[in-house]
Amino acid sequence: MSSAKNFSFFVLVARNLQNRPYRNIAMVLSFAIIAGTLFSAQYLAGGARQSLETGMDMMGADILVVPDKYAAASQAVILTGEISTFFFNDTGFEKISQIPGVAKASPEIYIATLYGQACCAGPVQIIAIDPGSDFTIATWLKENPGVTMGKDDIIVGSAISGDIGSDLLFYGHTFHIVGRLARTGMGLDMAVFTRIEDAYTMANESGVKAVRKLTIPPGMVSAVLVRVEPGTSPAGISDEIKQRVPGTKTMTPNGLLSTISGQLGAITSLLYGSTIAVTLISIPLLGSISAMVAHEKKKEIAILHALGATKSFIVRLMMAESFSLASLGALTGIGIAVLILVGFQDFIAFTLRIPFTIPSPLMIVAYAGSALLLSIVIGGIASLYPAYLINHSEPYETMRKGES
Amino acid sequence: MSIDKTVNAYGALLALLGIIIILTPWIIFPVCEMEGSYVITSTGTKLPMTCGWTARAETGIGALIVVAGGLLIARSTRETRQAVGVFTIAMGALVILFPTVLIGMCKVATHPCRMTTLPALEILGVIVIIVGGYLVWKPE
Amino acid sequence: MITVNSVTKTFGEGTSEIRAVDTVDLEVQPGEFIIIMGRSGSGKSTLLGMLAGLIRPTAGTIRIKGLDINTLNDNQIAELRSQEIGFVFQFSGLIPTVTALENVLIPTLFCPNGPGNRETALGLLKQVGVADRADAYPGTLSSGEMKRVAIARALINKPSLLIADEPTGDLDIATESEIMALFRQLNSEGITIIMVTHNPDLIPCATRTYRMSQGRLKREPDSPSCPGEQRTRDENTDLR
Repeated sequence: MSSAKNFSFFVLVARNLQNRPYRNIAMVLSFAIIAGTLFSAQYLAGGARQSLETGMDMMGADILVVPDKYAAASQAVILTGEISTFFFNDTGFEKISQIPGVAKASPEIYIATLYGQACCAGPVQIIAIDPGSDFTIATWLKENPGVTMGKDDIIVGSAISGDIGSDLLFYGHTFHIVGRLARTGMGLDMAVFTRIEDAYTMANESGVKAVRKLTIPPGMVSAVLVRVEPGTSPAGISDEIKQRVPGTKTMTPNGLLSTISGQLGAITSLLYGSTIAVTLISIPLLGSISAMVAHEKKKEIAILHALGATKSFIVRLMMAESFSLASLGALTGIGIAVLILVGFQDFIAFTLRIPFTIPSPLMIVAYAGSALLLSIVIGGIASLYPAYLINHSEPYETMRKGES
Repeated sequence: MSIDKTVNAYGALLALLGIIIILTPWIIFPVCEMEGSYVITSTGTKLPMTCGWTARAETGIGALIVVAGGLLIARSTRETRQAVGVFTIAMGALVILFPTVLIGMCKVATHPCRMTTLPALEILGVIVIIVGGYLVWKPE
Repeated sequence: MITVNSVTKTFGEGTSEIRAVDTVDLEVQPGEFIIIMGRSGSGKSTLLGMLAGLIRPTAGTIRIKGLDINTLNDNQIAELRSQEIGFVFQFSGLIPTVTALENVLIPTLFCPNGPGNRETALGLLKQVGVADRADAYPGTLSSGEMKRVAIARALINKPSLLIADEPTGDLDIATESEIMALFRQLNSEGITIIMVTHNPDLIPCATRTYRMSQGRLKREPDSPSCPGEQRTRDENTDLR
């Protein structure tokens, strides 16, 4: 006897969709492209923003003071990991510390290493800090109480390979890895943090031990990280710093964010623009296909009508088919986008030169939800015309005309 | 013996996937030695880097997947399909395991083998496993 | 059961106006078997469409079980149709994407609280003689089998009225006889049947026969009845 499953509205929808597989696959692909493009745009923008916020939080600074001439280089160190060595012409550090409204100031020295390190095929950015005043690594050390930064100890960014406890060699000087920072997706992932005094030791010994001598001018720093008093405006302090220490440029997290937004803007504009273009092209295309389907199904609609289906049932049937294709397409597009974006995230970030981390699961769900919603809305719009046709026709008469 | 058109299509798909897996580390997303990077020993001998050995292993597995696809096209009985499916799942797992656990890739994050070859092989491995799973559990 | 009062249906306007149905009167009692004959274009199918509530009359009234169709909106007519009227199309009208059994179950989607279910559907397919083809798709069924499935589908919600538009039109003589025997059997079980047909050989077992010509309905003389099969039903007798 028959082994048929329970028959329902959804079974009818599913059977109708199986009827013209190639046309339905084309529709699914259209929705997949729309949803995938929108999801990708949101994912990239969200990931870049999250990376920047994580990185900025990790740095813990309200203001970053760098030499005016090397502002771009310092931005590149932080954001994309392009290494550099530079210093203030004037120390400036003491002057900055004494500005009213500055709660804390901490100096940093940036040193570019040579090629051919064991840990990495390319050069690495050493950031030498003053453990007494630093508040970047200090936060991390507080969260990892078992770790201390002693002589020749280094804390590495997430992209530096080497187990904790192993050694790395820079300019002929041996350092011990005692900790690894969390991934930020920024240039800081390729940085190695050491103490300023160990950096000076390394520089002094480099003439004998290293391939090339490293010179760190005494008393000079590359950057000063500033934390302002609560309630004080970083913008006001920035202006004061630029006045009191000529030749400097100040950067704030918001400023860095807008730099990145500018770079990312071009890419996300392209993606959002593509989404809009694909959507605008798809709506009439999908509408035409839906109308074609409605015309093809005139007889079937008349049969259902004669069997007792109301016009609203038939409209619901057509919309259910459209929504099913839209949902399936959206989920396919989002799935493929996730596979490519997550799998190739390092390549994408490296090629686009943007900081990037995977957005939080909640944000990913939100992006997927909005892409799915867009597809469903387009599916609904595309089925409006067939719905209109059905509501303004007399199915039985249409069918009879077709027969005569 | 009945020829199941759908199974033949999956056989062709497997063969295609196998070819793509072979080509991926050499041409599509080439490993470091294709860009001229080798490990140079103290005697001056050039040896492949870790990613190079993975590429060679993937070539072997890719060839086996092509053979599996051909077998499915040549003989599409239920038993053959399911047996091929089981081995396809295993081969898909190896496609993923070679570059991640069994052999590995270069450690440096910015090497092309890590940024492109590795994710490409992982995605291909997942697709192969899904195809294998379908062959095992395909409803009659 | 059905009362038709001076019903007219026109298509088009002015000089191109066509009177498909012209001032038709008809009264059908429960349990009757009515046959309407006539040439192509005489208006039979249009009349049938109006009796099923699929076409609105231009003038006149149609009452089904006391309800005036003109006072009902489209949804109410559809509901009435799903509960009270079974329709058999000229071309069988099976949905090609679902099996025979699922085709029979389609009307239950519009009448979720009705008597139709999977068991009833299987029973009906058995009754019409195609139970072994329940899982077959319409594309693999013969014309006769499709027609039988269509009849089973028309009966799933246990309607009081079965309307059939040339149900044997595209069948061979042997199959036609079988289908007609089926209709006679259903009528003997109490279902009111209104059928349109070309074939005069089918007349003998009808309660009454009419002829439609140029939109007008005319009663034909009663034919000799089938032995033991023709009967007049009392309006109050519930035979469903």
